[in-house]
Amino acid sequence: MEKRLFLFLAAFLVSMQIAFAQGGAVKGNVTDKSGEAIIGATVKVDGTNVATVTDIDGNFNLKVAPGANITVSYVGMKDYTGKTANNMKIVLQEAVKGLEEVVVIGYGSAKAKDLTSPITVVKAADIASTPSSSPMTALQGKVAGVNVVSNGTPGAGPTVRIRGAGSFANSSPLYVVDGMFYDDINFLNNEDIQDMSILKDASAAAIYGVRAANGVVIITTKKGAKNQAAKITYDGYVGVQMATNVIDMASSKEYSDMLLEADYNSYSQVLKNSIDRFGGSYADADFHNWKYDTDTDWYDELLRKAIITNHSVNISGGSDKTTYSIGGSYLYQNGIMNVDNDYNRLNFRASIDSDVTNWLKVGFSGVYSRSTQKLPKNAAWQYAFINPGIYPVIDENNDRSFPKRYGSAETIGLSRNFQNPVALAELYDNENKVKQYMTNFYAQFNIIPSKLNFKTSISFDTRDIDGTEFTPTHYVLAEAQEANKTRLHKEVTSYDNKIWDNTLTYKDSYKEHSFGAMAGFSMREENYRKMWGEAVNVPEGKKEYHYLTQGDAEGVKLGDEGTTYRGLSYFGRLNYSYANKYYLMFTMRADGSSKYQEQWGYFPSVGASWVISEEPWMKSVKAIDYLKLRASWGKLGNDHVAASDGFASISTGNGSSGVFGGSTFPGYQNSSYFSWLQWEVVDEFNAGFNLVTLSNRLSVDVDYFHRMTNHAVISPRVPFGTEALAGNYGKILNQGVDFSATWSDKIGNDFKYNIGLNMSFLNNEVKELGGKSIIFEGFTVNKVGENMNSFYGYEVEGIYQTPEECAADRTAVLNGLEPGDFRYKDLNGDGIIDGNDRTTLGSYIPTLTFGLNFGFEYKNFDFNLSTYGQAGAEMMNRKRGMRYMDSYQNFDKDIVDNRWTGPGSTNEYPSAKALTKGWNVSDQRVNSFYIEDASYFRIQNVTLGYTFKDINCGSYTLPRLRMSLTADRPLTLFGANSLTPELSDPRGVDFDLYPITATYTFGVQLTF
Amino acid sequence: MKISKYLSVSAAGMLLLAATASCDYLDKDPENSVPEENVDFTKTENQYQAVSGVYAKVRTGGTHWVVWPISIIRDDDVWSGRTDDQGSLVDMGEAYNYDNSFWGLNELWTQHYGIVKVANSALESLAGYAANTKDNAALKKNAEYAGEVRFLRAYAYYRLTQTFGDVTILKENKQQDLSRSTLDAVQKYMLEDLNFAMNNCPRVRPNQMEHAGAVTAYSAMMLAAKIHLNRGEFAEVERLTDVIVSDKKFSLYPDFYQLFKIPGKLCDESLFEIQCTDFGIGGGDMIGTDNWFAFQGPANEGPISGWGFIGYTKKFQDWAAARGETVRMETSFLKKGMTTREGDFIKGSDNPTQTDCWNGKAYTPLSQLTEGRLDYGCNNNVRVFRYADVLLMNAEAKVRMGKSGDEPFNLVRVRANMPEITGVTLDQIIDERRMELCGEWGDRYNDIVRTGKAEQLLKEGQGKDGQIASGWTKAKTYYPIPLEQVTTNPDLNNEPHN
Repeated sequence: MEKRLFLFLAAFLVSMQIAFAQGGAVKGNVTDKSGEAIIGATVKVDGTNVATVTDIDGNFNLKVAPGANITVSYVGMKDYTGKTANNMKIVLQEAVKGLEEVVVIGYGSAKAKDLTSPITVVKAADIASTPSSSPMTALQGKVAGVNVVSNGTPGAGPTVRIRGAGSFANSSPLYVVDGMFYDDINFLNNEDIQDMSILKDASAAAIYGVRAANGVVIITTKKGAKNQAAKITYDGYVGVQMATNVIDMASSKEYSDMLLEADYNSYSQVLKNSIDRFGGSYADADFHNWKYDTDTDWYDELLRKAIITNHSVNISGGSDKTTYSIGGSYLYQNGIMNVDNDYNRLNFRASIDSDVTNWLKVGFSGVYSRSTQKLPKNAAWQYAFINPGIYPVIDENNDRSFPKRYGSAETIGLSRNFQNPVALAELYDNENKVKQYMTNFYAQFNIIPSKLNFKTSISFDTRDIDGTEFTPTHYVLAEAQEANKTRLHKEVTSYDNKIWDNTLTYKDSYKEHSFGAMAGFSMREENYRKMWGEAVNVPEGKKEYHYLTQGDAEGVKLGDEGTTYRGLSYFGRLNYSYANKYYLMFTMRADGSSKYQEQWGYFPSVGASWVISEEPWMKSVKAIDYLKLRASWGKLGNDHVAASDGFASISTGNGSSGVFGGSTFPGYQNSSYFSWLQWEVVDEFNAGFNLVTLSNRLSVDVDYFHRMTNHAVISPRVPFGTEALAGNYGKILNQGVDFSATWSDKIGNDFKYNIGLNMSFLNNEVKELGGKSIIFEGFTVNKVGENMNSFYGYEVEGIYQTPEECAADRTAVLNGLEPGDFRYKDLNGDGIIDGNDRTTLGSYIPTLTFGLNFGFEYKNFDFNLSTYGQAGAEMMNRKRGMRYMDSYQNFDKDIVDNRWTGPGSTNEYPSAKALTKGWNVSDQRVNSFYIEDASYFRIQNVTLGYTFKDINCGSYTLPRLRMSLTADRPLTLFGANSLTPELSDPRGVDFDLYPITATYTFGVQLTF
Repeated sequence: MKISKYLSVSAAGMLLLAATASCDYLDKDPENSVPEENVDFTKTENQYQAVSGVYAKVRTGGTHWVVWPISIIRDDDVWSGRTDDQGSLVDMGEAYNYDNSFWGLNELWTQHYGIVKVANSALESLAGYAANTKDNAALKKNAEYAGEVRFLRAYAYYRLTQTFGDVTILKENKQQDLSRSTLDAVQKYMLEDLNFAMNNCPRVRPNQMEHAGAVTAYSAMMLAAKIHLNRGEFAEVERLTDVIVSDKKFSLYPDFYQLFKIPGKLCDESLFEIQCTDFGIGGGDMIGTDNWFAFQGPANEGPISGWGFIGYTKKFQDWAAARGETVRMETSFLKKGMTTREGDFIKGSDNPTQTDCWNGKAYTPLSQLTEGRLDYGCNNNVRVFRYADVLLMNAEAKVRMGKSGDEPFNLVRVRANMPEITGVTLDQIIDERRMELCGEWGDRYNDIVRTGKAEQLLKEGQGKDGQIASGWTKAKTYYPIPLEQVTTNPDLNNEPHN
């Protein structure tokens, strides 16, 4: 089918015949109102592709007969239109900031002033100063309504949410890179990007239909500009990353004090074992005076300073017909975990766009990316938290341990819950090699120049991931940390996606009426394949031996899986404006998908805006430079949910077969739970305004949004079952306000500065759960009227202080509680604490996120400071909660210093003994003590730059050179007892995490 | 404007073509999935497959490790074994503070209803086969197999009622009303299933079955006897156990020590075992329990070790020693510091709050493991019902009915190298059960509850070697219904059906 269409397209191209004529020539000069030449303004003959760019003196020379209509445009200036004459003197008027800017929207572009929706554009320069492996990390704090939660693992991308979480399944936005759809853009280098448009509301996003529910980010890779001599830019930085906010843990002595206070008889033996084996003294009768020669700081042992560096070269330019851009970049990021873990990525990129004739434009863009990610064992961070300091990393006397003589918990009688974190990290060998090719080809036919064109565009994306994980033979700790045979796991994953877009675009105007129409058709196919194999007894020593065939033939495991989904879409957009005052826009997309039973979905939207400042009666209000009101409504889909759920109606295999005398009889288990799912649908309403005032210095954008997710997929348990069966039962509301303001001004001639503030207020609420009032999921619940994924447990009212208080309390008597234990609130007032006294304890969804930015330029200096923060979110300190697993677990310093030590000492922290009891510490008794405030404030980025320009060396002008110093995330302030309040777990359970890294870099930019 | 005409016509044509020609583009089968054939009910030779699936579910669900302590820790002899992990088990088993939000209760509930559901659908499958054949041999098999499934379903309900008392009867999987039924009603429902099994399953030992170890009419008689015993219907107990005894199919395995190890698998004493296998080879797949063995493996190094749970109280060990027990002590007690007769050293834990005596009935010596296998207890079966219990029930029923129970009683005593007793009393039988069945499926707790001894034995301070205050009352006979079930299925709050 597809093949036939391509043949048709080829035939169509060949059959074209062309002829067109050219006329005389005009000269002119373009300046601003102060008479200064404008360099690089575009001069274009209306209705044709004939265009040029002004030179260094503002002059242009255009091959066109006098009397033709031309348009002169330049960034930050209002367009000039008029008829050509010889020696024209054109003076461009300053535009209201940003309004003339061309913004990329879905399947087209528009000027900012013509938009009916809040679209934020992020330019290359805005993300260049952030040393990050993924461009989205650089967006943190820059855009109202975009919540970025970064991830510390080298090469790992952040979690991005636009306007809250509207799905239990997947809330990540759609990324459209040069027409190709992605779930993340971690393969791109910051330097590959020309600009990003963030479509937040329905009227902008709905054109992407079933993929649009979580917001859309459109990314354009770098392009050249017409009539521009080759511009060569080198950008590079080198820096050092270091962990910040590392948790202080108890010293060996503090650990010993805590345990012995809790119960001398139970815990003293292990502590004496440590002293016997590693030195110290327990001679003193008072255990508070015992001494420990070993005091391992496991975090310190795991951490190091690590380098990050990025180098990129970009070359771009263009003639009057053709533009090009070509570039390459190399990123290397070493991990801060003190073992072999890092990330490197080499990217090459090229784009070419050419007006091959006056009716045909063709172009190509491509990115080739290859990266290697050597993963750290993140579980080591968790073990660093739970292991006490009473045994060393290396124990020369432990001859059982190999390949190194690691210190082992078993040598002092600790259980197998205490894996040596350093050994765990060092023995981990897991690497992913990724090769990715993204290409886009397009041809645009100008059927009626400047009015009607047809564009056909085809994009491919192929990503191959080779994963290898090797477990060497080792022995550190019986069963938990030992392998008597090596194990090799290899997997080859490939993604192969294609999209073919065809759009017919028309625009025209008549007097004060402007209108446009776009109709499109798109086909796409997404393929995922994975093969994996696993073998044991593969020889160790060299990477060259790591082949499955080198291992034991018996016991080899294999897997092969894959999915293919197809999509077919028809979409259109109509827009109309009158006198640059009233704007209306309708879009509609019909999306068909092979994934779902119900194949077709329809996603309409409508948007309107009113530029009040253009009204005659407002012209006299001088204080207001520009004021636009806007409102929109639309439906958006989320197809990141499974097509069906249920358990294979019949399950077979060993797990479903009975054993009869040493062998199995093939059996099956028939379960009849099954459900077809459909996509989730978001209904979004947006209303806002854009105000520019105080002589163009202050620009304010405010938008209110109301997003209701219908058919949200959630999986309650089947009655009496362990199985959860998904259904489109949920309804989730996200509503809030995005606010952003920027102020920019000059003081004198040399000092320019700007201040920006963006804030996003969000209220998230579960509205419906298909008739149920509450659905339990581990530590969190979904409950009607509460935030999604709210923590659920007991509320700590205080600490029992005296034996008398315990004796008088029925719950304390029944549960054998003592002073120092938690006193829970009797929420239902029945005089006893049980499961019915649990309640919701907040969620990991922030109610406020904000960013405050400041920058100035003074002569050759430039400076930028950005900050980011969030408030209103809660997180669960499961690191502390894990004590229920093993009461020998280490304590953090905060809990040691603040513990209850006697009546009146504290009413918040439990006693040392309490921390060894299930009443206070248990996964089943989640309580408010373990739920902590996830608010934080961070200095996101500080950059100071100095530029050498126009320096002549004889007759030769040296290239422009900018040098900069950047401190990225140098300071983060938060109250939670955690390494970071930015958690990779979307529910906010703090477990094993990479610490926050602060990065200090020195950068150089050279422009030839 | 000739070109634009070409172009516009071509473009429009292309869109149209694309639009019309791609109707079938979306009709694509999912990758890597062959549509499940419906079960072909005419192939009666396959009808045991559904039954085999139920056995598998009993194996995976019925031996979940947390099911085990919940079932056995409430008596005066056995405790969780660890205070530093799963502390709720100590609270519940020693202080009788039942926490309805304890995850394990929910696990026990869902695992056993999982068995009920798989059994329900297997019975539907069997009915499908029955409706599709007129062959008498196949129909007879069909009824036999249905009997096996109904036994397994009754077994799941037996565990549920022992744990929770009044529970829901799930007659079909999509049942809307999830209200509970009274214990009496559920017991009658189980007895219906068991009667069906008695009438349709062969009267042979499990190890004589076509599918070795599958349950038989005798298994059903024994479970029915246990239910009648709890109901105080001693005549029925006597009748059912008399049948098992007088048919002379079963006998006590002479070596009590090996009974629980590899040589004792599916011996002539066994009425019901949950079977596992390593296929007799030292590598590759293994079919085991859900950590039933590992959970109660001793704190130790190497293969003869596990999670260190399940300990015998000191008081019980002393009581056994005072009775002059030998073989049953050696078999049941795996003590810290000892070396077993096969040479496995039990190192134990340095933590004095942990038990120093683990359950020897879950111990499989290293020398009996298939070479290459190192998992504690792998390839061994979980013993569930055995003939010794039948004999002791028979003795008890006889004594209760005023007859002599000496004969069956002394068979059990002699095998354990204990002197015979004449004129055995009820108390002596209960004591014998305490020793013979310790560390197996919670019979001790059931015995002291049904004989009214629990209030005295489990009173304040009588928990784990007297350490824990707070005592047992009649109201604590059963655990509470798991909070998660009550919250998600509000029907469970309704008054139970009669």
